[in-house]
Amino acid sequence: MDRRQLESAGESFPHTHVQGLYAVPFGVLLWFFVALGNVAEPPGGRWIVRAGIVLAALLLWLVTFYYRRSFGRVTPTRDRQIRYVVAAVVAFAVFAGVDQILRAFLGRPPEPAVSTTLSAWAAGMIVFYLVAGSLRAHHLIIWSAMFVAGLLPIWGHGIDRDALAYFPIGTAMIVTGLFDHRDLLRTFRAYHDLHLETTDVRG
Amino acid sequence: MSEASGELALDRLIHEPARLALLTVLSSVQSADFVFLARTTGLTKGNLSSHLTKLEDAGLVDIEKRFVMKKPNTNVALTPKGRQQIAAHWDRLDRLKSLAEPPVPRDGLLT
Repeated sequence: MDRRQLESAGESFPHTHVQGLYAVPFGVLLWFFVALGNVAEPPGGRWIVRAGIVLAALLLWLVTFYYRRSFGRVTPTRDRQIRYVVAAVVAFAVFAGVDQILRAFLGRPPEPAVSTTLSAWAAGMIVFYLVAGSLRAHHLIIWSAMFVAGLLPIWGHGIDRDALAYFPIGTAMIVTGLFDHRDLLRTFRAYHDLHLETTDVRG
Repeated sequence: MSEASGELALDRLIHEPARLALLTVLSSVQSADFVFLARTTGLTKGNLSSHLTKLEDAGLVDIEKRFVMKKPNTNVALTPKGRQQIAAHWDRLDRLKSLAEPPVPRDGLLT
């Protein structure tokens, strides 16, 4: 029996980034509310932004229902709760800091057709997983790719440049979440290899 | 039995694999519900319930039956005694494991 494996179930599971499907409504919210909500003329008009928010809320309800029904409820220890909050605060500071540093060098708005928002968000995400203690290979690959993509001169000089960055951010969030969910399923499948059901209840 | 071996004696109630797994999972959280414990241990509802009752009788866990959104939910948490005992138990297991390991060769004496 592996002590660390059993402890990691309780330590990791309560956090939404391990329950990867939570990234789906969050990604949808980024697409519709942040990206489409901030472009000058959203395709289809303003109602599509509102419809997106309703869709995200519905998905959030479904994901919560699925996780609670399939995996149950866990209250993390105070230490883990603090670490999670610290990770979110540090990640936001990195996002804001990297964005400001890049703009300080590249201009306001940036002279080259790059997206500092995308690169800064990607840096923030990597730091978040690092501080939260759950950085995995797929996090590093996906968000490093986003960091590089933000620095490529493909984003144009339009007024919607920052808003458009939230489309790949939302997509990367969803893809990362799907990989996290796959890992979660594998972890729980591994517990059944312990064959505890064959042990003696009376012992 | 020597004093040292007495110190390393394992509590059978805790050392039973399913209960050891349950207590270890619970030691990593503030509390967890019945569904989560069933998923992490792979135990059936009946067996899980029996193990939890034994642990509750021994004062190692607190079991709270409650309603969450009008549905019954059983929440389980380690008591301070349970938290101390599972930590001590793993400590004993680690010490036993280190005693069972072959001695590290020194200055080529065991080569």
